Amino acid sequence: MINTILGNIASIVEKYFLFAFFLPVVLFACALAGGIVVSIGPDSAIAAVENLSAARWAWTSALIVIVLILVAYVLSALREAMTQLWSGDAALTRLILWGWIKLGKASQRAAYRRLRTASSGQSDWADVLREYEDEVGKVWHSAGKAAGPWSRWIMRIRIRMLHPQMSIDLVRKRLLPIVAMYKKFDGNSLKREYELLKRRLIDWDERSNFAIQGCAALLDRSYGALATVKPTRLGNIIDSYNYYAYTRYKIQAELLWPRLQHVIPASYNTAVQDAKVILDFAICMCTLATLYAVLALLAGPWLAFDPWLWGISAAVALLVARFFYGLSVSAAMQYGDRLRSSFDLFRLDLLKQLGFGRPSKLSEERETWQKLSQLVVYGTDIDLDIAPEKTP
Amino acid sequence: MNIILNLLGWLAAVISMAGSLLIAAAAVFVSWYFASDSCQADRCDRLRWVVTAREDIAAGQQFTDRLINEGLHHTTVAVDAIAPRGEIANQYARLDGMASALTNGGAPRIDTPVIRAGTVIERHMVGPTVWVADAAEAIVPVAVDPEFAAGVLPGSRVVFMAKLEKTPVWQGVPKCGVAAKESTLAPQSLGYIVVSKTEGTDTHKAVIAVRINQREAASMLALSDGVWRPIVITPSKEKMCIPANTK
Repeated sequence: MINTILGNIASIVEKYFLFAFFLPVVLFACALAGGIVVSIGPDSAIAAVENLSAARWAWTSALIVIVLILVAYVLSALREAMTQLWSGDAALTRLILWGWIKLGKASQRAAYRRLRTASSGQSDWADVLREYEDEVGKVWHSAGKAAGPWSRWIMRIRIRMLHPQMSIDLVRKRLLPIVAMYKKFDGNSLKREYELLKRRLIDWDERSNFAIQGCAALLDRSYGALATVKPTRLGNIIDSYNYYAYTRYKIQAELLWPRLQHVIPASYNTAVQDAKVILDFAICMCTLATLYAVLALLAGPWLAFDPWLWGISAAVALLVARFFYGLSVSAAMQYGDRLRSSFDLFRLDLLKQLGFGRPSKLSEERETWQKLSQLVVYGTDIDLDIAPEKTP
Repeated sequence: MNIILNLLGWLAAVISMAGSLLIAAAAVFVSWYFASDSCQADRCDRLRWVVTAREDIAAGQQFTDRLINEGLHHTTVAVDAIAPRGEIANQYARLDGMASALTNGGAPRIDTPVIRAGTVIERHMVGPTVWVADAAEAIVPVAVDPEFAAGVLPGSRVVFMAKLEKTPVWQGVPKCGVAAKESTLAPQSLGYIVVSKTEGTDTHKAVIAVRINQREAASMLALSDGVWRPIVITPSKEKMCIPANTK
């Protein structure tokens, strides 16, 4: 009993609790107090504070601190619910905001498809370069006449008029007169122009490949599967890092993450927790800022009938909520990266800890995880080889 | 078939979106509507002020708290007692302010007759008032019993006693005892200076206009309502006081 109480008191000073929940609650309370002071007037507020006796002031302060800690605890208990709320997964929002969720899902699906198309494409510039090299190679020495400065200048202009935003067909079409110049003049006299065009096509090919890879990476970091697309960006990013371990290793990340945490070294776990602190802080701030906007619009006029004051307060609160939502999206990406790397680095240690031997192949490992997931999720009757205990 | 189902799905989504927006807007509207209603006169445990406006105020106009000076700054107010614009120059208004605001500031002053929407305005004609150039002073009408108003002349100083409750407003008059001994009030600061007296249309009521300043304004809260019995105080060089047991 005493240990539990002491444990609870110790958790108050934990960094995670302090920054992720207590700090947002303090900021929210300050904003509320600020709103009240502005509505009743600074003079009245100062007079009210000055009228408090020292004892009452001390009691009031202590009470405020206790209430703030309690509210922060309640928020920490609601962490999952808040995350679900901003992921568009909460049952209540699904019911009340069904239309918006449908719209959000449609929009996210469209973005997913765009990214998938962009990431599954391949650069055509390599083909264009190969065709150009083949065509020019055939006619390199066909003419004995060297190109004059005017012809070279014309050719350079033609090369510079090509740009990567053009369609491949148009570039191919515009390459024809350039190739024709090599039929007319000796290739050696147009060597510089040849290299100039070749370098350009190589650069475009590299750029295009980087863009495709970037889209693929972004798709992987931003979305899970098309079937499970969520209506918000945050929801999809959270889905993506839960989906990562499954696509790579057939690990049910959400179920096995608590187990994996036990085998992650403390130093690495701290890094993961730091990212989680920022994510939860941002989600908490986003929720409280939205709550402030709702309070300003619904309860504000009962305090002071001032449309400007409460209208502006609500607008500012919504802007703050939007800012912290953006922050939570970027924090979720960082947290997701840490989780992904945790699975990459320590999954075999978990396997060992669970009593299974180290697999020799990735396919074997996937099979083991899949069976283990079936056992954990469905309680399926499966058989797995358990590694014999090593005798010292 | 699929297209029709898809379209129906989107139609339902649009209706749901509009519905959720409507619910949110309705919640805000209802809250503001009732909050506005709750801040009308005689509600919210608010006190009344008699104030003068710098400009004419048209009937039906409503005040915003932004336009009230330091005394009621940030306090939501409702207003009544408005005569039609142009009928009488320099109107007065009766405002409802929070008690805390009244104790912290002086008499409120309305710089611009802009009135907040949603407040019900009653016509409440007590009598004409004259705006005094000094923002700290105003001339306020007080309805009095004609029976006792005979001796009231412009220039005299008066205090008022409620006709029924017998509760005097001893503004500026120190009570006898310790307070009286320590009082440093000059004789000329006692009571209200009568500016004018007019016979009201009602034979049971006359209106005398008194000059008030911010310090005295708190006592004028009561004077804006009902009919009062004026008591003339004759200024003298001696310190004036009233018996301590007098209420």
